[in-house]
Amino acid sequence: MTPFARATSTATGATMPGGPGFSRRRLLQVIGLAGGLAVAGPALAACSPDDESDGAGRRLDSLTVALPSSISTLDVTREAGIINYVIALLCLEGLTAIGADGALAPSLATAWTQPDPLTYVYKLRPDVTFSDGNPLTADDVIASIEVNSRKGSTSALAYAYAPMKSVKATADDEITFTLSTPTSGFGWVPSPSTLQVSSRAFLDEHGDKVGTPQALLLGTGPYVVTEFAPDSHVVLERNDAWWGGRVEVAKVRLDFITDENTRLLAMRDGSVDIALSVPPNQVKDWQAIDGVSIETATDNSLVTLAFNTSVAPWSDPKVRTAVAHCIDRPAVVESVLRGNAEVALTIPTTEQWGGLLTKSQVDDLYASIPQVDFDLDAAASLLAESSVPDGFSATLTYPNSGPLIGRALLTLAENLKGLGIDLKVQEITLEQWIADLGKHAGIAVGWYFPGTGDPAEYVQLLLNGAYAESGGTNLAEYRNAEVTALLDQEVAQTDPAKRGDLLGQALVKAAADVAYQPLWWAKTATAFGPGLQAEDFGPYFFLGPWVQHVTTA
Amino acid sequence: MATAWLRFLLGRLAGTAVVLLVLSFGIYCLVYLAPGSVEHTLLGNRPATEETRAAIRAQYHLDDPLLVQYWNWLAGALHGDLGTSIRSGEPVDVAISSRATLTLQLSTLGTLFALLLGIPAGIAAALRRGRAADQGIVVLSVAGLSAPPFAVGLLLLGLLAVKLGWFPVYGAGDGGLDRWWHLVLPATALAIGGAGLLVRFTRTSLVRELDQDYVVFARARGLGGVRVLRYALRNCAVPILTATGLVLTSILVGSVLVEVVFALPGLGSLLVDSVTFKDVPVVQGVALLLTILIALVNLAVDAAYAAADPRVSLVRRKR
Repeated sequence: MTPFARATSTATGATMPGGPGFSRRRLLQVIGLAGGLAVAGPALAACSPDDESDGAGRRLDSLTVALPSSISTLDVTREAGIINYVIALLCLEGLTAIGADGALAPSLATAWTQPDPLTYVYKLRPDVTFSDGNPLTADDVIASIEVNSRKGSTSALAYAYAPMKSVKATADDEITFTLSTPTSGFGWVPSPSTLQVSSRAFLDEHGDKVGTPQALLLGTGPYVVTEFAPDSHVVLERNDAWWGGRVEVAKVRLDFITDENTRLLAMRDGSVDIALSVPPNQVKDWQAIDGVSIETATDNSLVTLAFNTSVAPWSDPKVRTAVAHCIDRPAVVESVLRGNAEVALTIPTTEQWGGLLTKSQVDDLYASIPQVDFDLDAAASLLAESSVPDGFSATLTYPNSGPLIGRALLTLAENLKGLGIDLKVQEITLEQWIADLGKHAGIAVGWYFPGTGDPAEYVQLLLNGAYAESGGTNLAEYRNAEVTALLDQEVAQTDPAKRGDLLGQALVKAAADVAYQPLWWAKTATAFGPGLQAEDFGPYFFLGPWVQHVTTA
Repeated sequence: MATAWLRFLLGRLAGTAVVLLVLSFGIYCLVYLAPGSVEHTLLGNRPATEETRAAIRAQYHLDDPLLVQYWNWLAGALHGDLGTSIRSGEPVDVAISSRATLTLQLSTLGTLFALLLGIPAGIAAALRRGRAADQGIVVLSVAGLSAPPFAVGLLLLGLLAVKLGWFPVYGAGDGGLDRWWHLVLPATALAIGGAGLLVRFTRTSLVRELDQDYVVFARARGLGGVRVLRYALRNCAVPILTATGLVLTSILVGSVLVEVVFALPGLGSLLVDSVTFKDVPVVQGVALLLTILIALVNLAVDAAYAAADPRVSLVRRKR
């Protein structure tokens, strides 16, 4: 029985009439600083053979997990990378959780309602205690929210709370959010990607030191962090008092092994039980290890080209279209990504629309979105008619954590040479790439992990003219009044079907302007060692107390 | 004599302090000028309000002029407060101390292996000059010198850890003997290059000494081979000590890639992460610690020169 199943059975009143998004499938992928393409593969290695239990196969007393990069802090509000979530969400919980199907599920809240477009009310689960034995109160939840929402907050999650006017404990077991304007995606905010509940006493005592090896974390989840050594490991021990029941694995050790070859050797050697982020080009080597199984799931991340529509020569739609014609997306997915991705037809994946559009509506919508496919002849004739018929030169940078993005871009540069366009592809550090994104270069590559399960999230951030100013998230500085009007209506709309329709219209219209050329939606692979398997493995697997879903085969 | 030594030490200390000051300012400027920005790195490519960015800049005083920032850091450092890591929120001295222990253990073990491997091989090569054994050792030492430590590390892992199962694959162990057990492979990977260097230095200087007249005379007087070798080796001490100092310092600062391969939480990985993050307090702390360690190694090597060779004197003698 999964914890979500348990949670659901106790949460009979989980309704949100007419509320946006609460019952829909959700893709919650966390924006990753850490990571690269290889961000999502877990590997559990080596349970010792003496873990044999009496009768029912192997018992899982302890697990060793190899993670592809280290974290600087356990505190997600300070460093919100994917690996930070993989660890922190074993100890900390939100008011809601994300089910295996991507829908919001009860967690510390058993039920929630939206009495009007500006008000969200959550009923707290009774008798929940922190791992130090103290009871969870509404005030603890408020303190955890204030970490992100108070004035002068430096939290990486502060953006999510921008539409919130106030949050109050309206009863001992009730939290009420009031918004300043209707915001269609706000229902996702109290989920664990943007809210991790700790206690007021703990937060006050440790302040900025929360998440350091000295202060660690305090939460209500199934595990307690007992040791954190940056660049080395994290040790978690079972919290026997978890409201969801006692989990099977008593101890989890997460080792940071940044070298992909060492991770492979560690699995071969039996030193690790699970390994995250198996690189696409190594999947075969991992599968060759006796008993190791690889689970693959889309992570809903998007890699896209962005052409700055207000800078010459990219302001000329013919130039943008000609360049977009020069990248062979299916070939890149096949040869560079070894099939661990899907050609991106637009910004959200087809799996992010649950609740807004039906499967067939999504298929119809995606079939109607105009595509710029690989066609060098069309590119040549478009460029000949453009403002720069003799070609030009440009520079395109990509982050060093995404070497495969670099290889894909090199194939583009090679094709552009034939048109007389000299595209210099440069690798820079992830940090520099992030800082440069806001400068809106003529041509840039965007790489996004949705932070909510809402398809609107990056559609808004990339296409709404409101974000086109310098430093904004609309890298293409794309200002189409019609598209912006559609997107503004979408934000204020609470009816899921209408939202889906508005988003669909905006995507179709914007695609015709080729401000972006979406490249691919990535998948990530996780290796499970001999005798282990994952229940309900999918895009949301690691966005909750995932260790409880690891079982013996 | 004692006061002369004291004067020598004080001189060295003053020199090191000047180097530290100049270095700390230089590093501060370089990190300040490096591309990227702290607030963007902290927030990632998530949407962020200008308010949040401003709050982060205010918290870390990023809007102050460079000289003011540097002065604030220096004033703190002189009072023993190295500041707090921007990246992790940990006090810099705490963050560094746990890693410094590991890096020192690794460097010491690596240097020890290099000495045990390099000097005997160098002596053997010199004694068999021009023969097959000499040529073999020289070729191996060149190979060792040119082999990248991380590649050697992977080779050792595949062979000794996975195939034969003699050593652990990764990690720093649980302290005590287990720690040293975990450090054997990474230290060996680091030692290979150093051993190559030591072979070259030892062989060259011993070959030169063995050609000296005093060796010929000693042999002519019927002294045994071992005794002659002892005379010659004593005269090789200076170049060998120089090479040892070089090996120790290069292992100390060159361990980054090996730390990555063996997933060791040492100073190298901390320094690299902090530089790209522009985490100035940590970069300064690590750089200063490395500078001090290197100054100490040089001091020890200089003192060893004086002990090994009476012609070398650290203090001016009165005639």
